[in-house]
Amino acid sequence: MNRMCIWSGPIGTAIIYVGLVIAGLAVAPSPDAPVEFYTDNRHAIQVGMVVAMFGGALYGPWLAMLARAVRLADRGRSGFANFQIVFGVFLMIATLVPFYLLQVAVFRPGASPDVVQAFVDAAWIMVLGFVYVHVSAVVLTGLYILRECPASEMLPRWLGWLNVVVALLSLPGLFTGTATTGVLTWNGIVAFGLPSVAFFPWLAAWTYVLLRIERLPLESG
Amino acid sequence: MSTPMNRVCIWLGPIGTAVMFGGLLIAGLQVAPSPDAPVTLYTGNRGAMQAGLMIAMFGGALYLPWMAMLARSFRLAEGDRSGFAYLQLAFGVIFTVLVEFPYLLLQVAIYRPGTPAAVVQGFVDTAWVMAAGFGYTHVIAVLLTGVYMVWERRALAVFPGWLGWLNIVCALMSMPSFFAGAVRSGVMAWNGFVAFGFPSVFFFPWYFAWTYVLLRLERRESASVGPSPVAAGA
Repeated sequence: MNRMCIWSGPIGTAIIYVGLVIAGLAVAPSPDAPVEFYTDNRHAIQVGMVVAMFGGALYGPWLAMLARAVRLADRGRSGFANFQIVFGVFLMIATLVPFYLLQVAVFRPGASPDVVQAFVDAAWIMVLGFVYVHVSAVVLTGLYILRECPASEMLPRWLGWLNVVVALLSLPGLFTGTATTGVLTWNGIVAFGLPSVAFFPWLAAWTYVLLRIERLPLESG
Repeated sequence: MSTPMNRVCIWLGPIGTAVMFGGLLIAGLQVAPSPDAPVTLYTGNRGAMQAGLMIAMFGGALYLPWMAMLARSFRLAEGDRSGFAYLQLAFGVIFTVLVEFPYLLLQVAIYRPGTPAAVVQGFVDTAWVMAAGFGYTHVIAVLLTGVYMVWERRALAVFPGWLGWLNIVCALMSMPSFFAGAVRSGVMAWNGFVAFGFPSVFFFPWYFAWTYVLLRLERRESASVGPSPVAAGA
């Protein structure tokens, strides 16, 4: 079951991506996109959000295994297993709430365009608003691996550096709630592109490490 | 066992609070504006508010590691039998959500110049009602923690006796925030002396007392154990 939980992370990500493709949201649209982009595409967005939310819910078991890995690695010595749990729950909320908001935006045909626009804005700003917690959590975890687990067989040193780099690459996401044009908007190459691209090596690397930990005998640290 | 990163996480709590207050100061929101404030208070101050909210959200995110250390302290005190470690974890998540989401909603409210005033007002109201609404889970979690600490004083000997009573007092003083989502004027409004003032003022002794106790626990842990098994390559 542990291995199944670990695989639920990448599988969930793939399902989210399929949902976003169905919804026509595989790449975030421009903040200037008219509300008709969403309201005229209502059924596809509704189906896509249902699929994407199902995928987002699968991060839960993956993040629980991440917390378990830290607990196994330091034998409960630090509070970092706790930290992964609270970060994991926050990540799930921050993944699912924007999809809910997009569903709300297109839920009622005939809703005022201003109201639809406001919910669309809220959804996209929150998608990248999770970066605030993501950056601090991932950079702290990276520093923890480098500083506290220098000889760990479970949490290799390169994983610490990867966490630090991914956190730094995600920093431009902090600007998406303020920029309305240019590379720092929620669909911009810097604010959207860098955090999105950096997310995948982070997820893949942790999945690889978690699966490797599962193969190790429990006695080794 | 204690680790330097644990101490970093504990210190990030008060540092995050200071950063958040700096952000609110820049945004002009260090004291909650009246529910009757015109939306131009927000839309007319867009640049400063956006910069301030970004800083405040960055500070708010730093509560998460602090809360993880709060949960750890109960595990240190009671071992694996501690249910209150889990309570602190659950409380920590909802606490951070209720700190971050109101700022995100205020960002949404002022994101698009030219948004109708009614829509801006709707998001501003949601933000403040949610910010004050943190009182519901805060009161229950802090009160239960305080009562538990007073009740189980012998089992929780690592915590000072006064901390339980302080939790109870701070929880009771935060209760007026329950009304902030229902009252639009007077002392019980979200900017009212009672509903905003009491919980805000009593947040700080609760927060700093716990930070002091968590750091003290870390020092004791450092003094009582040797190098970590991981660091030693075990």
